[in-house]
Amino acid sequence: MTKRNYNLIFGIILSAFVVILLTVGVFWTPYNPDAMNAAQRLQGPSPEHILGTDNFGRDIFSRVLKGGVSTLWISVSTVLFGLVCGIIVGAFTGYYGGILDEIVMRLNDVLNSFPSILLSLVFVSLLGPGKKNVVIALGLLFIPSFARITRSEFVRIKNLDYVKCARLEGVPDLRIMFVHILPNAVNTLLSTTAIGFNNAVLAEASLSFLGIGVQPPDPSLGRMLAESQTYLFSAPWYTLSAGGMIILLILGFGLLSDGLGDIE
Amino acid sequence: MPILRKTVSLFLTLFLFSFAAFMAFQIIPGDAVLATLGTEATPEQIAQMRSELGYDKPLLTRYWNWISGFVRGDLGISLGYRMPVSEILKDKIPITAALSVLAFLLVVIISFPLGILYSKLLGSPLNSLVVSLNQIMMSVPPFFIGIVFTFVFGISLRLFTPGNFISHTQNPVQFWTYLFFPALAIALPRAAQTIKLLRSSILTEMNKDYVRSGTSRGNTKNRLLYVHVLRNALIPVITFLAMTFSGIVAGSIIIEQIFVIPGIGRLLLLSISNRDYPMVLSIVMIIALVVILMNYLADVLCQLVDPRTRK
Repeated sequence: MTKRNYNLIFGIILSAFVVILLTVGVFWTPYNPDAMNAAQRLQGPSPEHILGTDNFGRDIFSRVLKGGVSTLWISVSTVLFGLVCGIIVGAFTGYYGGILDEIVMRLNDVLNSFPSILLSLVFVSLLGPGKKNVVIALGLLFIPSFARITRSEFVRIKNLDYVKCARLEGVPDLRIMFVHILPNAVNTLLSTTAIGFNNAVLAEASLSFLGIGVQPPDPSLGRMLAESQTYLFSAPWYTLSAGGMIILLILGFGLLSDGLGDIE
Repeated sequence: MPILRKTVSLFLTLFLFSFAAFMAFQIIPGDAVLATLGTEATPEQIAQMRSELGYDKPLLTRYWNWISGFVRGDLGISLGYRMPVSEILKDKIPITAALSVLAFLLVVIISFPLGILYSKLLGSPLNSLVVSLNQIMMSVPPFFIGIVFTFVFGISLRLFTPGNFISHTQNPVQFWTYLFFPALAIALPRAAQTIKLLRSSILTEMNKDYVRSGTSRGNTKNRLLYVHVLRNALIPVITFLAMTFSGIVAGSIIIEQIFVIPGIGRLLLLSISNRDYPMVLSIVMIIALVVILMNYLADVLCQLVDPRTRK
């Protein structure tokens, strides 16, 4: 029975749409996102400014694009950092087991049960705000979830016959781990990665919203949202544009994750 | 016995976390004493404040003093307020606790009926509409809902005055009305997640053999659902709700900023920018305590509900 995987289809369409839009935003925006224009403060959406202008007369669409790029960039670096470290930790603990495995997994439990926004808040307060520190703080926090998934996959796969055969043939452990086992764990990891993006976007937006994430002059969706609160009454499109972009990002990655999880 | 093992693990976790948190605040760059006294302090002043705060003792002694004080309710002295941390937190914790509990109750009240209802819609044309709406609701960050709420219910409909927080002692009714909207803002995305989980959990259970044999014995669909299926379907939901609670507490930190609620979230952010580390450490530790205890409770509850995990 072939049932269409609508989550995957819509997830890919939505994510691709947002990512392409933002990729364009890296190279070209309709206006300079930092160009102020006092004559055109807080204008509603119009053919010239499709999402209106903010309190400095800056084009909101251009700023949403730039802010989205920054959010996406942070999310990608964060997830890659967490994924690579998590795979290494998970692979070793899962493959070898033992006392180290026990300790690392207890530590994982603690970090996992803790709200990531709160921990990243503390991390950033220790390291100081800024793009780089947000990536480090969030990346560190994402290691446990990836490590746990990788570990459970490794524990499952390492007892399969083909791995035992490889071991009998004298294939080195590292090769077994990363050439023989890892490719079979990719499916599960993909879905987890998509959730990771989701959490990263939300965490980055929250941190910037609180004013301790991305610092000015870098545009950021979270901070735009925080700034737009003041003009909620006179310029609701400001809030809706910044919030809408965050929702699109999260929705796309969320569907993608569900869709990837439904494969098999 | 598994409950005993969980309890041992609970204390181990608490110890590990408190130790890690304490150490993290010891190795931070920047001296908290210097930050408080300023650069013009004399060496004597610095030495005096160091010994006042106990910073001149070895690390392990300081950890022991701190954790034994914490257990007795002595959280140290705030660097920013120059007052005992426990004095300041005494007024703040009930507010955040009220907000979090209200949000949690809303999650349960919203998600249980809707999750059950949605699971009955499978196969009807409404199904995909409801599932898509739920997915969208899941993707909306709570702080965005919070801003929309202040606009719609606060500024436009005037159901509450944004920024005009009323304490419980002044007027309990207005206190809870004021907290309702921030709580709902936190609860909505969480409720959507819970609905999704509950729905899929019910649908998975519905495909099991015991449901088929139940049907063939002439049980009605509703009887099967409420007497047999729901009991099993709720097990993953309970674990999820415990994790949700920690998310709710974290969410309230952000929501308190939007609705200007003087809870521990606002205090935490203020203390972070003031580098008031005893305060930050205490707040983090208290939240950790709540989170870890909730997870423990969920584990125990699951074992009580589901004998299969009691091996």
